[in-house]
Amino acid sequence: MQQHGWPSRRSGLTYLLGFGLALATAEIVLIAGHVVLGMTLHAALLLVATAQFALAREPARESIIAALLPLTRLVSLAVPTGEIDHSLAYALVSGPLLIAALLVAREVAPRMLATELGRPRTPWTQVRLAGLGLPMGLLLLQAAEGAPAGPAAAQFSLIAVVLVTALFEEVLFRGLLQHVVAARSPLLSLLLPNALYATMYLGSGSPAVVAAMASIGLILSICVLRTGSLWGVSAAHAIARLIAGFA
Amino acid sequence: MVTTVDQPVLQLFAARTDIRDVAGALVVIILVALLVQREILRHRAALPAQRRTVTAMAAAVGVAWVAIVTERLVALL
Repeated sequence: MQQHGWPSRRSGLTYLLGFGLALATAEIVLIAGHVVLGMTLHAALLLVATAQFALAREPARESIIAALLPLTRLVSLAVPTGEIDHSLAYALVSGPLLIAALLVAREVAPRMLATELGRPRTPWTQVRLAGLGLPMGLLLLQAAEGAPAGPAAAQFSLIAVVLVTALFEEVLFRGLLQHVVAARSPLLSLLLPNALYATMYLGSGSPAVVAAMASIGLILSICVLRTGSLWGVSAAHAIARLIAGFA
Repeated sequence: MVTTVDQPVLQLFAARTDIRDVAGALVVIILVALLVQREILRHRAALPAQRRTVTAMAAAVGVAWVAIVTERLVALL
């Protein structure tokens, strides 16, 4: 069966599950203090994923999308935080990653660009969804209590950059990943991308934050599934971040 | 955010120059590997979209590398 020009293979889901486990291993190794080994595992995962996509006779688009996850970690570790302005750190990391996600989406999931990132069918619903950012931000504040402190919030100049960063995360997790998994299983499209999303928060050092992010991700996924647009959830995500003072 | 910026444990690592250098070197290795894959695809009867996707990924990694180098240059100045 062909879908958007890419083979629709059940093995794509198995691939994402296996990739998720390997990604979690790399994150745990990294956080445990074996930083170079953890980064090497991330690089190996990225290379395996891109090689699978480039060299396989029947490439699975899940592999090139999954490659964006270790790329995110490596690029973010290559940019200093604390030494430079947070706006610049966000821009240096999120800018190229958003470009990567959009370029990959253009080739392997063009329909996602036209629908989830297109003009929303129900603009006012998207505006109302943005309001979800308030309770989500409060939940994050509660979850982060007692966790190691993140950077201080909310210079005005950060707001635009946070929007870009939130958009990148939504395009990757609730956009690309959810879109390709939903083609096979709507239920798994809610669970699998958010399991990967929570995995990428292991570096927060707080199980409560990881659980909160998984819950928030699940709520945002349901909103995207029901409304078919990423704009409202991206705004909610950015608002939640600014309220929680993580930005 | 899933990036290091909001994750305190990872921030400690990103504050170390040696770790940032290793991460930067890995980004370069990935960029080279993607360019090699692109050349392999050019010589094979690959799907055009497959080649375009690898090219797009290489372009984005290239942008990330330029961003990293720019940060280093700004820090030096």
